[in-house]
Amino acid sequence: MRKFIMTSLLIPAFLFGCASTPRDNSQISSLQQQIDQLDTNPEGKQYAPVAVRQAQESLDKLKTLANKGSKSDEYQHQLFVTEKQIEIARETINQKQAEEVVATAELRRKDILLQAEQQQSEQARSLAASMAGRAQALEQQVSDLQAQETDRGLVLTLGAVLFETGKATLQEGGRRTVTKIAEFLNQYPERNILIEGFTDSTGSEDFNQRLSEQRAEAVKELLVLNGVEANRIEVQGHGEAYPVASNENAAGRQQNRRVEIVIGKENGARVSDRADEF
Amino acid sequence: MIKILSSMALLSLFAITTACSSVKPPNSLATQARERIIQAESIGADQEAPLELREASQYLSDAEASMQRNRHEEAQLLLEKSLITSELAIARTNSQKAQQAAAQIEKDLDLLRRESTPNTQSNSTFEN
Repeated sequence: MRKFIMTSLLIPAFLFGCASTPRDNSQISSLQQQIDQLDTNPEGKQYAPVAVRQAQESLDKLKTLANKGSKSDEYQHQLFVTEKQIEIARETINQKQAEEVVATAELRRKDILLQAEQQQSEQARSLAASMAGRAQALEQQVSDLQAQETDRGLVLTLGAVLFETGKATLQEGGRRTVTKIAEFLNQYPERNILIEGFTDSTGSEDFNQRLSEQRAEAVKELLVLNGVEANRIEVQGHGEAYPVASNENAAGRQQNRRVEIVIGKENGARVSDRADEF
Repeated sequence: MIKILSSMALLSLFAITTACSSVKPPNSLATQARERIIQAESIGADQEAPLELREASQYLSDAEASMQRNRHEEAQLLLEKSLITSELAIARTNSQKAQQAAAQIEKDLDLLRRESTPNTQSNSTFEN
């Protein structure tokens, strides 16, 4: 009897003192998964090896407690600590990765500037190439205008067909031609230009002199309108002097009615007068 | 018989009360926990990890209350909770600050990238 009473009193004492814990394996495997996932970032664990190891050790201790069926308080406490350790490991990885961004910022900044520099020089090269192409195209166009290389420079001849008969007004075709010449001249902004007007021998000398000057002047005005600087351009009228063909027939006279544009050979030098040639 | 029974009952009662209590008050752990909270505050945890900081302080004051009632084992566990929570507050604060700095740098680099890249529209086409 005495024995029975003793044991019956002692059993509840054990039960109350240290209640055994329910083994919650899903909880533990979820925590293990969280630790494993710290590595989902490439090399994630390498950023915080100590914190990750502490979290794993904490979880291992929790597993041991669960297997021993330890008292609930101890298990709950270890669970709390493990959860916090995992969170600390996660934050430490985030911190280290962010610090790496900060540390490599200067390197990346230089890289961006270097790339921009390369890109800019490539653009400059391609722009230069396209400019060269444009200049070549213009020269080709100008050569279509009966351009002639002479001692005085490059001579472009505008035929009479570009002017209205007996007038100094340029026809539509003439305007287009002069516009192209302006573009060409703008490619060589240092060269001086001499514009010379000529007529055939029909009509009075005075009239022809005036007409040749007016036609040369008209070409100058159009060039200036198209951006060629006026102070680069000199204008001379030669009337019926310097014929390039016979005035005896219509074809020859048409050749003689013309405006010549002489582009100086050297930068800044004045185009020498026609008389100097002889 | 009754005498024996009552003495047995007293004995088992004693077993219950002493089963889960340690002897020494965890004073040095309490000091550590207090210092860790101060450390967290000093790096700006009140801004970057206010919840954790408050939690750690709560565990500390709970532990202090337990110690006053001589429940030292309970206090020990509460102090451990306070400590690990302060650690988390510190880790979160450091992480937040580093991430903010990194985000600012990404923004600056992005701006630099956009500014230093010449726009491709400048290649005008030439008309004849």
